[in-house]
Amino acid sequence: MELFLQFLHNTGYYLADYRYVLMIGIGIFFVTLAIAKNYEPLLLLPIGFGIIVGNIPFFKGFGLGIYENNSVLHYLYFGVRTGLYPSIVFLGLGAMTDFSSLLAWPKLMLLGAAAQMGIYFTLLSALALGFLPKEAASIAIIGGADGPTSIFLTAKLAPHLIGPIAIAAYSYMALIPIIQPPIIRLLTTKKERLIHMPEEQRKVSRKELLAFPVAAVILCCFLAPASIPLLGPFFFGNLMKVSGVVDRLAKTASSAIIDTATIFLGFTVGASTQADVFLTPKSVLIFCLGAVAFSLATASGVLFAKIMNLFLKDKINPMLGAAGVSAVPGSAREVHLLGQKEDPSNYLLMYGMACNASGVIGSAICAGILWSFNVG
Amino acid sequence: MYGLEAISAANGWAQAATGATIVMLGLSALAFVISRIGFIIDLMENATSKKKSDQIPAEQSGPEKILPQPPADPLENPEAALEYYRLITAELGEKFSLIDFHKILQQASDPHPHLTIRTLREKGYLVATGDGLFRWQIP
Repeated sequence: MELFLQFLHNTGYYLADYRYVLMIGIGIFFVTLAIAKNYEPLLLLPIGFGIIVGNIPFFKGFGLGIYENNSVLHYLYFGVRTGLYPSIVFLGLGAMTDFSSLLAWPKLMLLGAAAQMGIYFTLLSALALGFLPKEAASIAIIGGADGPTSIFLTAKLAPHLIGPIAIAAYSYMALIPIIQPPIIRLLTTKKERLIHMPEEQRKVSRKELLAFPVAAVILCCFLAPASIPLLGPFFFGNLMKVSGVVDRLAKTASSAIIDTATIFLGFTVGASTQADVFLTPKSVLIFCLGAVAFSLATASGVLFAKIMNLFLKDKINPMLGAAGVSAVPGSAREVHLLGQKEDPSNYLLMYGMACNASGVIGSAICAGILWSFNVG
Repeated sequence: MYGLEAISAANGWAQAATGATIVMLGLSALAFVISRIGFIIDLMENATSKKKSDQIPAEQSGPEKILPQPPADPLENPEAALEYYRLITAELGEKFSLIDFHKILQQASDPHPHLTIRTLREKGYLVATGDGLFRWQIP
């Protein structure tokens, strides 16, 4: 009988309290969003299930939890703590990205830069709220709307905040269809939303596509060497794709490799949200600041596009500024759908993807800049 | 420490201003470089071809690739135009991306590439294979 009672005391049912139940509820919510609503399922499904697994209470000292040495989850979490998974994800992203729209319309790159302004506004807000500089920088990068970049920078500057920051970054990426449209509508007129982008696009030669990743990696990484772990693999992946001589490698990078990294990244980030570590007032503040960061990033992209239109002969649709955040391809798709809603013959997807690609580069540079500002 | 005092103590104003300026300048420089890449490559190619033509007598160019004739009004009658689209995408293989298809439509001087793709998708002739690629579905 004593043995039975001892066993009962070690079960999750006995050890659970309201915090674990709440977190498991959040995990189920994420899984539901992924399956029922199809919101970023590639991310929310592994994260959601990871949250459920990470919040099953257990007897400490058995080497089971993600924060306990020698546990399996702890070893899998290594790729998050060291920034390994984000680098691998960037390799795959590069092998999947088509830069031809961006090369045909280089001015769209500025929208990717403008949308990063949300990061710096949020940096100031986080500092004002009492976060330490390294924590504030990690929170600010949520404004880049790039999950792997957020995880990478947080792993380097404030590893104790990886859980809330990663969950906030991925949640807001999944909530693009809810967050971005009202901001875009608020900041643009109907006339502006009806602006058509040219259907004919300059033909980009293969040589241009080949020269771009080489030129870009040199230019960006010389400017912000701390972004090498992200931009190095990113442009390498792209060079593999456009070179056409290593199709097998490019296909593996854009399928098996990125998929494996995404599975482990999502699952372990989810599992890192153990209620006793995750449920703190700081996490709530991070979620609020994340929303501010994402909204400001969207707004700054749209406003910058409007400013550009003051000087451009061929106006650009200012909604494209919202695609300057690096949530690939969610924000480009959202901008395209909004454009279609206003005028079904308005096709913005290719241009949105160009802004998205620029946003990925921009947020990686910002991560490098913030890391170098706060190193040491 | 909170508020403006905390921002100043952490050198936040300088960080934000410098960071924003660097990323703007960096991406502007990259935009400038990529807007010139085509021009530089053209310049290099022209120089190389001029040098070659000075040295070697001009070679006879091979026969031009002849694209099949586009149907009169593909959007009005996509069923009849399906064979034409299959022919022009034959070089892409069984499965292809919409971006590649869009490029081929542009090369074939299709007046409305997006609309064509959309119509073919809606009619069910162009179906997703589930891995981001598409294939033809013959009725």
